[in-house]
Amino acid sequence: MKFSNYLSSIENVSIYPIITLVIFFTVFIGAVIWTYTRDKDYISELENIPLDNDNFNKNLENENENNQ
Amino acid sequence: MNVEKFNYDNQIVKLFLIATVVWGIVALTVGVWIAIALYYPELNLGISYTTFGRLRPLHTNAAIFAFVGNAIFTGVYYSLQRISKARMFNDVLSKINFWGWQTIIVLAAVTLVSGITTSKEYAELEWPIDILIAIVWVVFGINMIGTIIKRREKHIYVAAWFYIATFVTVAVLHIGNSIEIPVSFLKSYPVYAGIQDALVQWWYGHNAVAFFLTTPFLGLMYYFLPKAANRPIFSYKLSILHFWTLIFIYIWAGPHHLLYSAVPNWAQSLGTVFSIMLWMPSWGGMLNGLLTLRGAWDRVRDNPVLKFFVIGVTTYGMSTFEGPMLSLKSVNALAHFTDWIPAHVHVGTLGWNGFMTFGMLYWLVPRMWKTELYSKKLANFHFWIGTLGMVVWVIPMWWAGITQALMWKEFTDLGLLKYPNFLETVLQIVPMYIMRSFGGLLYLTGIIIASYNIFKTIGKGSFEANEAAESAPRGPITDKPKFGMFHRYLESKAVLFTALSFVAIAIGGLVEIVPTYLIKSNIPTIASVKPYTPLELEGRDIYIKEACNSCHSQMVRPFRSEVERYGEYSKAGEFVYDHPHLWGSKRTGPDLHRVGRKYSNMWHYLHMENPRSMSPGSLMPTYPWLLENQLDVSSLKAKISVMRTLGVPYEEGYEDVALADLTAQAEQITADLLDSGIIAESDKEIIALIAYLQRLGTDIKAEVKGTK
Repeated sequence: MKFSNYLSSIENVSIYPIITLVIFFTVFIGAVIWTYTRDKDYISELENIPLDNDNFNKNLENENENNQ
Repeated sequence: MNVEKFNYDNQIVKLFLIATVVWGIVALTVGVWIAIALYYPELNLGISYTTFGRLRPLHTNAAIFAFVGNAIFTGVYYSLQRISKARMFNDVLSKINFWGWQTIIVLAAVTLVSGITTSKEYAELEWPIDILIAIVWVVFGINMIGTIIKRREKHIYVAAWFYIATFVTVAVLHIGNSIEIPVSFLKSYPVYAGIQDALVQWWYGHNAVAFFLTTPFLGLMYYFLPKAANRPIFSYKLSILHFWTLIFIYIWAGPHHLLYSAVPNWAQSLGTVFSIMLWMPSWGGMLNGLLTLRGAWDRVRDNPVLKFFVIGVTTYGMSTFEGPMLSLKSVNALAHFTDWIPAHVHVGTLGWNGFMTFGMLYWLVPRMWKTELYSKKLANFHFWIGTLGMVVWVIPMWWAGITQALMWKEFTDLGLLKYPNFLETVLQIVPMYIMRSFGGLLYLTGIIIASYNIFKTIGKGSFEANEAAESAPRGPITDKPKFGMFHRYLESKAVLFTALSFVAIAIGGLVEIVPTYLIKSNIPTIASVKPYTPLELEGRDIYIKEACNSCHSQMVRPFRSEVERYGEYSKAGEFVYDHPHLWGSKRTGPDLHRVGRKYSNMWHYLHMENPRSMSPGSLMPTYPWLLENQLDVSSLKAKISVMRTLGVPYEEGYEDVALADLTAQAEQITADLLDSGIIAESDKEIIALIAYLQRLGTDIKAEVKGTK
């Protein structure tokens, strides 16, 4: 059983997988380029989001630090 | 500076946290129970409610949706508020989410044990519960996206991306896989049949693993691992890359569950290729987690939370390597239908989901109750007994899977099967089954110890339902516009981001599913394949009710060893009237696709009453109630007419004479049984089941005979 048997009823069906591949590839390359052109400060701001709002239980954090 | 004061909602986190522990114990207890039932069939106690077929979906649903599901909500409701610097969008929605989800779990437990099931793996729940799930899930989504929209933090942290992708994809999967037509209040037939049903099911099944068991936990990892290690994630850039690649690629890989089946070859190859591609983004996530601890490994030594996270992330790496490997056709030919598959699955659930959850709980409880963990020693003990439990669970099952597969495939020098009796290959691996149940017991002991430790910690702490916090309101983005602003814009827009995630997963889903719609399934490609008779249809529903497909496949793969053992390999055209498909995914017992007319009616009757009377040493449970229970034909008319709506060619008006046909066929079987010396009544469930089993895979036999 071949793929084409099922899809032969659609006109110009071969364009769809190509469109899909192009979208996929474009987004992926876009993401790579975007990611590697970020400056350090911006990334460091992002990656510290979980860490900068702990306004309770400082004792436990300190204990953690002491264990280092 | 303008600072806003607000409260984090800890009450909702507490509720989900307790539910996680309670359902975890339930799910694992049922797991140990059915693990023992596999080598000690008497454990079904001779009643339907406690038989393997009923309890197996209870175990899987409890583990995935009750234990892991509540763990996801616990983590999301805690972390999302903090990374957004905002209380949850709406407290009422939070409560509906909690109580709605627990209601679903209870309804699931009651219906599954009662044999009310669609038979589709991890989607067994019937249509009214499906609707409830959709509502509660959307409530969760609104609450989550609402929180992200009203956040005070300028950016959306990567964890939230994973949560959004989880919400969107699970919604799409659940709805797509649950399109069914009700026959009665608690019975429905899926609109898909045969190979379409199988493809949709495994598109769902695979991506439920991806977007319920993987992406939410990656989100949790990106929040709780940096918190526990008290340092940012190893590479934020890597997290962005592996997020986009993961959600793009995952959705395509579903057909790897159907290799060598009657599914078209192109779909199988698609599944394999994307599964191999998946390896890289998966390991991107794993390495990002592990490398966060670089230079801090000494801290892992005396911090139980980090210990759990390290093993959790490591097992994620193991199972995401094993997955692509199992997707290679040559490996799959060996591993599929064997115990290797449960082993693979349990590395993921026990290791990745379980250990990440335990680590998260041990981190959360002392913080939320403002105290220290009751006993670090007990937590460490839990860690070791849990790890040991996993090893004792998984290694014997790898061994058992490979051993049994090799025995299935072994031929003698004369070209005959070396182990023609399937049972021989089962009895060979019974010691492995015993070890596996012991491993499960160790793991269960671990979570019971954890619950005690958590209970004691809660007892000595003081809980604050509303935790005060403050933050500056979110200002406008003030950076200079430059190249790359688009993604920053995108990432500040939660709704747009959600829409794009949807597009990403929809592309893969459509390409995989749409072609299968175009197969002209209502015109049988095999002329001799006919719809089921009314009695067979009812018998098929008994087969579904008792979940025979938990242990028996209906898919003879095109291998010499299988054709020799079972008969002609299965063709796509044979399943066109199968709403739903019953191919199964595990052969604890032999394949049944060609069982029709292989044994006498008497054999089946006695075998169902007590399998050991016909097959000494068999590990199949007894089904004495089938001989007692009266067949319920009250919805026969509705069943016939729904089937016709779905394209099964029953003649117009056939439902009016269906009952007469059913009775006549039942009388025939009863008469045959009487000839063999068995006095049976024709209105019992067993008669319908026998009718179905005798029909299985015989249509094509008729054709073979005819062409000769």
